[in-house]
Amino acid sequence: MQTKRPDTDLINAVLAGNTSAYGEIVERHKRFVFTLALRFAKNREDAEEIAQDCFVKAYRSLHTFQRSSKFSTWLYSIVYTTAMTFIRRKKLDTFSLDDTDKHLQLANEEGDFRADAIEQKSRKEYITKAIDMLMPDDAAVITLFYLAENSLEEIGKALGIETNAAKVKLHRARHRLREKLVHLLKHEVKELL
Amino acid sequence: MSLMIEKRIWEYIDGSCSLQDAKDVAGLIQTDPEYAALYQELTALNESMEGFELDEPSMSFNRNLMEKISAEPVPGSLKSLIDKRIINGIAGFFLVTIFALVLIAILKIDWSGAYTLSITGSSTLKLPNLNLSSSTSNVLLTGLYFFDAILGLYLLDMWLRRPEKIKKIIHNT
Repeated sequence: MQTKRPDTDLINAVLAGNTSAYGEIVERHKRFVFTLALRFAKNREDAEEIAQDCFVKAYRSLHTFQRSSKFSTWLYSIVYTTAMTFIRRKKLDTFSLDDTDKHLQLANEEGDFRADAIEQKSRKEYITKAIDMLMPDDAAVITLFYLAENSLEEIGKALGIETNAAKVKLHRARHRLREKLVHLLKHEVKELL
Repeated sequence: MSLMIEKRIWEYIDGSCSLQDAKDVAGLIQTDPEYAALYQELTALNESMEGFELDEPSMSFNRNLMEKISAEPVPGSLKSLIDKRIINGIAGFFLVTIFALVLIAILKIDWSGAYTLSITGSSTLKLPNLNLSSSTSNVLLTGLYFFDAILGLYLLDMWLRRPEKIKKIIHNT
């Protein structure tokens, strides 16, 4: 069985001029980078653009990567700053997404739910919808904690904040997520969960 | 109040609270129905989140990205460290300087002609009197000579390297 080469080995290979080693790094991290980008961009095309931009930026600055933290943590910090810049540039109105469009969508979903939607919609689908309704910042913290299995310290590093601030951010994000879920599923949330 | 309870339970689930807090919360979950209900709800939510799967980008993601990467210089190499804006800035500075020198030279020309050039002996050609001594200094001229020398060496280096590059391309194809 072939053992997985550590990220640092691949980075050394890239710095030595072996560009194809970067392909392996991309393969290893692309799904998470894309998922995280999707939390900000809310559509696949923009998320792919952000993810590609992140990998190009990471490649250009690979020689500046300090080996004191994990490569993934460093990469996620690039995703975070790139995605935030993207949002500012696109002037995405996250509040309107959060409060109007999604809630209009919710009205229909509630109808579906009452019409025996428990069988049709899985728990995860509802949670995904609830995450999509969150502010990009909250969605990113939740994604970093659960999908990337990052510690609070690593989340803090990726977002450029203190560990305690990351803890507070995660707690608030989960609270808002629960609120969205309650709103989404109304009284049936307990049965569904 | 429930926000505080929620915070305590999340810390209990994450294992980020102190041992004493963990004992207290565990006891409250056993005795307090509010704690018990919320704990059940949050645990279920936590388990659902942990089982989440990552999204997959399109099939062409790697290909498009590696095309972009192949156009980039090797990270950390001299080429990658050179900022094109600085190069353009230097080029702009010299272009402006050359343009200004040419302009000053043209403006300084004395078209009445102080010098004459005899070609055959019988006919004379009058040249304009170009007097740059008032607006130029030895330092400036030395600087320009130095720049010309550097530029010459750079172009020579490029010219000498050219066959190697061509050989490399032929070898690769």
